[in-house]
Amino acid sequence: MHELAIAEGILAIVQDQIETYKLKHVSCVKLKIGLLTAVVPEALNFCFDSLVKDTPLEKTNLKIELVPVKARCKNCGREFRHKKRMDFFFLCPICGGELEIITGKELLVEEIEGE
Amino acid sequence: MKVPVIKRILDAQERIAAELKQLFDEKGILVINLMSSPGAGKTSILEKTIEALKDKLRLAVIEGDVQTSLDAERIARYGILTVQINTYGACHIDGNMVKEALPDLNLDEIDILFVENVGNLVCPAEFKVGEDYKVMILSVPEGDDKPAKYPLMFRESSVLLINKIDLLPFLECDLEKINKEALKVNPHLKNFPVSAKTGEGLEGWYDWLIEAFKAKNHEKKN
Repeated sequence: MHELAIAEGILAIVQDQIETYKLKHVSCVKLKIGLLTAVVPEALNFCFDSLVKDTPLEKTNLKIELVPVKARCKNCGREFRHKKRMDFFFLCPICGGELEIITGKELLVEEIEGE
Repeated sequence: MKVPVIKRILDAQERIAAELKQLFDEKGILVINLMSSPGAGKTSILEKTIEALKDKLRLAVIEGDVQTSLDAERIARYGILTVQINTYGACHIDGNMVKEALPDLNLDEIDILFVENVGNLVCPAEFKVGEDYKVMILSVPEGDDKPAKYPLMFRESSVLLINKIDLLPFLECDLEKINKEALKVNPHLKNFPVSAKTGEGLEGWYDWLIEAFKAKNHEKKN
């Protein structure tokens, strides 16, 4: 359940923005979450909903975009995209070189929609 | 109104971890974040490590536990400074919890600080606690498919201790497969097959720790 800590982080960022932009309510928070973070969207929604229950943010929705894992071989420069959730190998299948991660570790609040 | 934000969700966490890291660096303390699933042998390996190194180095332990102080009591028996953190349900230790434990630690009298994380192969991988290295333990009864199933933990760790190898004759667990799969996930992972029960293989781990401590303090204390 590291989703709870992540939900708390999201809430802190949202509250920060509410203050900056003097928002009265927030309808939607857009998130980018890399598949390498092993965040379960349902659990994250559940945790966030629990945190905002009975607060002015109660109706706020999380819009989660899951970012696939992309990696590039440091040796031959080929790029790979890991499609399956649980298949994160980091050795190049062609030349055996080490893969560096390009995307897939994101944990970002990208945009907030509100009035 | 749409407000573009682009903020890292765990930014606050990472800032605290960076502050802790800086503090530990100033004091020349090697900090090890020790992680594994429940029952893989974190406390047992710590006990062996303390026995082997306590006369050479000043050791301290932060014990993370969901509920009890059972592990802290086991460690405190060795006369080592031990601080208990109860996470009360949380599945990992974060920087804030370590920060709260600081007043109970005399940082001027510590060479190596072990942070024994909550038993969990997923969440602790995501959080830094000011450590120099994440070290994970996988015990062979857990099976040789774990690197593929919990890649982030293997990816983030610098050292893998494969524990309970004394049980290998009774299991269908392929040590070579663990090794191979772990290196596929993390080509830099340093790997020590050990048994906390018999002591087999632990010398290599102790040597690694001593070397890591020396390397950290090369300019600092000498």
